[in-house]
Amino acid sequence: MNDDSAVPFHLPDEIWLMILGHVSAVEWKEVRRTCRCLNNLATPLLFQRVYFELCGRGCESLHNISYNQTLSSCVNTLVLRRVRGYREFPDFETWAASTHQPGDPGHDLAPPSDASHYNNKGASNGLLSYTEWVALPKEQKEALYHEYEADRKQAQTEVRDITNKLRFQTLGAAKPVLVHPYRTSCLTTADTAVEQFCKALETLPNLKALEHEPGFLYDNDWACRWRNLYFHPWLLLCYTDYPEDEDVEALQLSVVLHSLAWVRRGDRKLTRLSMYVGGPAFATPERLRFLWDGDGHELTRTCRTLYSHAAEADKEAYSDDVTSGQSKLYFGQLSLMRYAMAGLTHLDYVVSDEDELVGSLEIASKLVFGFLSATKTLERLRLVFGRLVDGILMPLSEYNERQCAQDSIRLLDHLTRHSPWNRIRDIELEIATDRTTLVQFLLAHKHTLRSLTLTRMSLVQLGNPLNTWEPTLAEIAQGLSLESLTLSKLCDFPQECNRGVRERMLFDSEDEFWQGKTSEYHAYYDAAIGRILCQEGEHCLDPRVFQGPGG
Amino acid sequence: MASASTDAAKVIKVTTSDGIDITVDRQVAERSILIKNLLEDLGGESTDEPIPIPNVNEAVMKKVLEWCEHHKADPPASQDDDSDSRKKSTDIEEWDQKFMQVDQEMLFEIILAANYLDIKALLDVGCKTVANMIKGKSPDEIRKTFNIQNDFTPEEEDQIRRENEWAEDR
Repeated sequence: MNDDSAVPFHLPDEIWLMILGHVSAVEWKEVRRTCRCLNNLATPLLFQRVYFELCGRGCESLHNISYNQTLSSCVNTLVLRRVRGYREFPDFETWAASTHQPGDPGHDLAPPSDASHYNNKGASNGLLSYTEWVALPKEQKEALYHEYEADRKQAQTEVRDITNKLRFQTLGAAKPVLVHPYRTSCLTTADTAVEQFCKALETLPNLKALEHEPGFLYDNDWACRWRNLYFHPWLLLCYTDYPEDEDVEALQLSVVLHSLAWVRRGDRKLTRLSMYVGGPAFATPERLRFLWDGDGHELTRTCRTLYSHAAEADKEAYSDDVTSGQSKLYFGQLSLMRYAMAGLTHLDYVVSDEDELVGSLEIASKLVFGFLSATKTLERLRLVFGRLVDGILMPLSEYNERQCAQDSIRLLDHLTRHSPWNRIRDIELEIATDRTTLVQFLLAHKHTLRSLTLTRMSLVQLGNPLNTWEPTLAEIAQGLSLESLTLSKLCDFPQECNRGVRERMLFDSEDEFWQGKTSEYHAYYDAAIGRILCQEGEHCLDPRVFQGPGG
Repeated sequence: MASASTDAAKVIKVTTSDGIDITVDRQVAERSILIKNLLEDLGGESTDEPIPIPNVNEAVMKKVLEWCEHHKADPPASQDDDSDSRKKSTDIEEWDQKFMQVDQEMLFEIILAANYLDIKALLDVGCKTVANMIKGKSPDEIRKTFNIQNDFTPEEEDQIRRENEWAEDR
């Protein structure tokens, strides 16, 4: 605590920190410039989380911070997040029609969400007004479109360029080998983003966490603004492709994990990791090779349209290009990435493949298991696995219930039989599974597991209509010594899902039934959780027939 | 009808740093976790004895008790209240906004008293009020608001400006 003479205003440091906790980075920057005393308080707040992206100049700030003695010690979390992006529109007309400048009547479109640039006063500064935009001659708009396209291609090149200096790293090998030795002519003397990132990893003394924030979670805000134009998020979704972005995210994440594993191998200080892996990504050595070639998964996706099973599509996609020697090399790099997980105590791991192809999640689950089995010191796990659309687990209408859940069931089953965790206290799951698998998985950790969260879980019955949430939750509560249980959107998946039978959803505060009845929902929720934890037998949890204590 | 002794247990006395005794409803005073714990330690006995509050003077104590009186029926803060979004929010309900319309010295004294007496919700309102005085202001305006002396050299100012560019607005 400072004394009164240190600052001209007599509040102790801890109270100034509380005050500064109520303002954002924009204000921290201003506060830093007022006097030395407030600078000392605001600096750690401003630099505790540092954002970066692995392309172009996306790591320059991180690099500068890591080489500044004062600032580098403030950094405890790195966040991989794209801050700039472009989408490929089919043509000029669609591009122009997708703009949504301030004052645009919008026709049938809802205004962009409150979080977007459009509604953010600071961020929307300088946007061209709708009237100015419509007054621009067509030639001028066309010229702008061409400049946009040039910028988009430049960004694409910058993303691809991070693969130029990638190296195969092998433990015990004398010297790392360039992944693309034939691209030496593309190399510049300046540090690439990957090199800057690796240097930062070597330098930051108090780094504890690495987070990956996928762009889609933020309404694609990063792709909505270009110069003084704004594209409506809905029209971006309608007219442009998402998969390319998914590949960019996967490429950057794979390089982050690879660098983390290599640079900080044996270092147990980095204890928290969150990551989102979407699409074909780097689930197999061959897929990693496609990413690291800088080509993305266009071919993988094309083959997926030709075959009914993901493994067949992969085989076709990679048959001509990947030799077994190369597969081995890339397998080695995937294995190396497991070192990034070795010292973790907290892991937030989201794996999604929107493709409805049979087997796509089975392939993904193998790498998930490989990574999870390396996390021997884990205390908290959030695992989201399945077909997610905007983060929501989607059932498959064309397949039977077994097909919908078989890959995630197999993953949980493997984790039950080969559990690497003997310190796990807190598990959060968002996955489709069946009663037996879920109960066995949780009970395998009964000696340490004290907190459980089940969110957007789908329970398949596998032929037994009694396999619903009521007996499952009763069994879980009976077998575990839980101190905390949090439930939301638990779905009893209908056996006749492909015949249009609707699922039953429990603990869904957004359900029509609870509209305008927030306090009633909380009362129901508290009573239901209380009954489950007190092991008061099986009570129907359907809110329409649920009876509270004494009922 | 309650007995006289029960009535007596419902009010307590506190003695401020300037030696003034203030009588206050126990329920109101117990918004302060410090006073609540002291009373619990006394085990319901000797509540006739004034509780000394050596860090808070009469004027500030009266102001703090006015806040406690208005908020005496508020539910206790839940764990969710510690969320990051709550911390970032500077929304203050209308009554509290008017309550905090005092001179800066009194505002800081209320914050210090809330901190000492362990009244989290009042401390929160006080901090949010100061945070709102910072929002949207330039360094110069912040200095004027809080009477801060600029003790940077021009080189240091340049350095901070450069460093700020490395951090993302969020």
